[in-house]
Amino acid sequence: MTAARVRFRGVAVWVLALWSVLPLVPLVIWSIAHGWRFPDILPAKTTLAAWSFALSDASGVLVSLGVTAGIAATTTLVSLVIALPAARVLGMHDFRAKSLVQTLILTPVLVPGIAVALGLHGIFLSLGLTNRLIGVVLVHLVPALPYMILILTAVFAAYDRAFEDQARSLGASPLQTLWYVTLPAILPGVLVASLFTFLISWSQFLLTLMIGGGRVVTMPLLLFGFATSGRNDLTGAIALIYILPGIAILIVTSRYLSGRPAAIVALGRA
Amino acid sequence: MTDLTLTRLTKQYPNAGRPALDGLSFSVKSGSMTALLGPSGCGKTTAMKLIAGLIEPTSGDVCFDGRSVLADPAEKRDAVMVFQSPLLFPHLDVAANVGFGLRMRGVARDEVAMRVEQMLTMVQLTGLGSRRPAVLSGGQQQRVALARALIVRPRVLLLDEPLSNLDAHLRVEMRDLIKSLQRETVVTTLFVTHDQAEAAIIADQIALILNGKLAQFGPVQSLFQKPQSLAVARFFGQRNVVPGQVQGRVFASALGPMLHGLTLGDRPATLILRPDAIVVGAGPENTRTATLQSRTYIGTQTQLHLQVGEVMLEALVPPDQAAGLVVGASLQIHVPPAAIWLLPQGEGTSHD
Repeated sequence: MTAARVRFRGVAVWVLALWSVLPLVPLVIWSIAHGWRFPDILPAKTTLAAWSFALSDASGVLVSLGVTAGIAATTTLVSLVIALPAARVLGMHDFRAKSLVQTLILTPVLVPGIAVALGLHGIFLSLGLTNRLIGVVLVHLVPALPYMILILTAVFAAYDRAFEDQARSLGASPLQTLWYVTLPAILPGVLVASLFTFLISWSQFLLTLMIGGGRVVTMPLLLFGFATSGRNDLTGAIALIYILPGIAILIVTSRYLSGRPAAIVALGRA
Repeated sequence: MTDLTLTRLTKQYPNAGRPALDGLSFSVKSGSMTALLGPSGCGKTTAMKLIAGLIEPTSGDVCFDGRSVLADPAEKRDAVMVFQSPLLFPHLDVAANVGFGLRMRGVARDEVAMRVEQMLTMVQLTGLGSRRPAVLSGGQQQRVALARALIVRPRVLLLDEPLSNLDAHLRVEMRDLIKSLQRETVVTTLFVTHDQAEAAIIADQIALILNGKLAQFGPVQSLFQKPQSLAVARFFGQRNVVPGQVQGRVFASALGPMLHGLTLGDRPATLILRPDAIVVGAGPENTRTATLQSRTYIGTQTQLHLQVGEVMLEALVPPDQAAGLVVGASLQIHVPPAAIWLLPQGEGTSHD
């Protein structure tokens, strides 16, 4: 890599870092401020009161974190089960009307969430799926699945089936082939797709509100409640707790996405 | 040690016009090396995959030592395929790649490690066991692939153009290694190639496949010197093809009457005259006067284009015979009767 490119990459990384970190600065200050009024640049006094409330049972943050993580994890697992076979077919085979199928799979992304939620609400109501965790997981699948299938399709398109033939001919049973050859090859891609799907579910607000009916309180709903009540200190603290998993996932995936960009492709090819 | 027999092996893919493989039958002896030769898309790889059990035939049978293996799944056949690309598992190091087949068979770790070391020595990769496949050269990768196949002591080894991705000098080296390993291990081997020279050098016998069908099977000399059809002759680049009539010991054509050493009834036939069968200078039989049209040095031989009457012939002669020949001048040539091959018309051409 040339020196100019190294320098450009350095600058780009810093711009991106500032871009994502700057909006968080007021949140941090709010969460520890004890009275912070215009025109003060920084609050006069600091306190950890907001943090101790946010982490106490009274706030409901910890319960909500569990609910949100549970829903996101379940959504991710169910998406994986549905998307793996679908993506394998889309990525590795050609068939009639393939592009039509691909477009149809993408449509939930194109249609605004509110339209989807309004349309599904009646159906979920009649099926008794509203106000329940299972209903929320199901409705989260709507925006999550297209992304999952899209990413995994790319993974399978880069995957060479000849490796499986090679394994079979060397004496591996279909199960051994899946375990020792196919899974290791697609694992990085599956990991990235899973983390993205997890984040999509993690950040759902509208769909959770409409189908969960306010009974299923995920982090975005809880946060919205505090934000609209005007408690900037609590909003800041809870918002920071809420975005932590996202940042963690970003760091983990960036290793796969930028640190070793060839890794995913190289696993698919010789 | 396995005799391999294919019986009318046919593969018809749905929505495909003609079968990818059409009634392929031949038998090879245990421990022999057979080249499956043919242009790309002729069905060679299909045949290999059918034998390996990676695809199922539409009809026909594959027998190892007289027993049909069609009911056995690929992993139970011990027919190991080595592909054009080495297909080393990228998440495993070289030793784990070579030991893969043994591990799948549940062989103990110690024994796997020992046999991997032996195998790596056999393919001249001693000490590279802990490397990742990606850091190896193309030739090394292909040798790992070969070691990975041979370590399970397969009943049948199926090599699908394993040399085609290698540079010219590596190809020769690898070809010789394959040949010596095959002699050492005495494993029944099929070797797919589209290169007739490669097939001739590496194999005991050749199965020439054209358009999904077996065009001819036999030792390399018989395919080259005694093609059973015009298609076979053309595949081997025979351009001296002259139609005519057999009249007893003589073949009458635009080249004039020529003595031949074959026993055919009087009938229309086609003369296949190998370029290397033409000798410069007058001989006891079949001497002709020709005009030299062009002369080209191609390595150890010289290519001549000769006009004999209406017929243009191509000849390959040693450089000392070609020395002193002048383009445009007349010269005498002859063809020994034993070098003449005649294809009866209507019979030989029916394979076309």
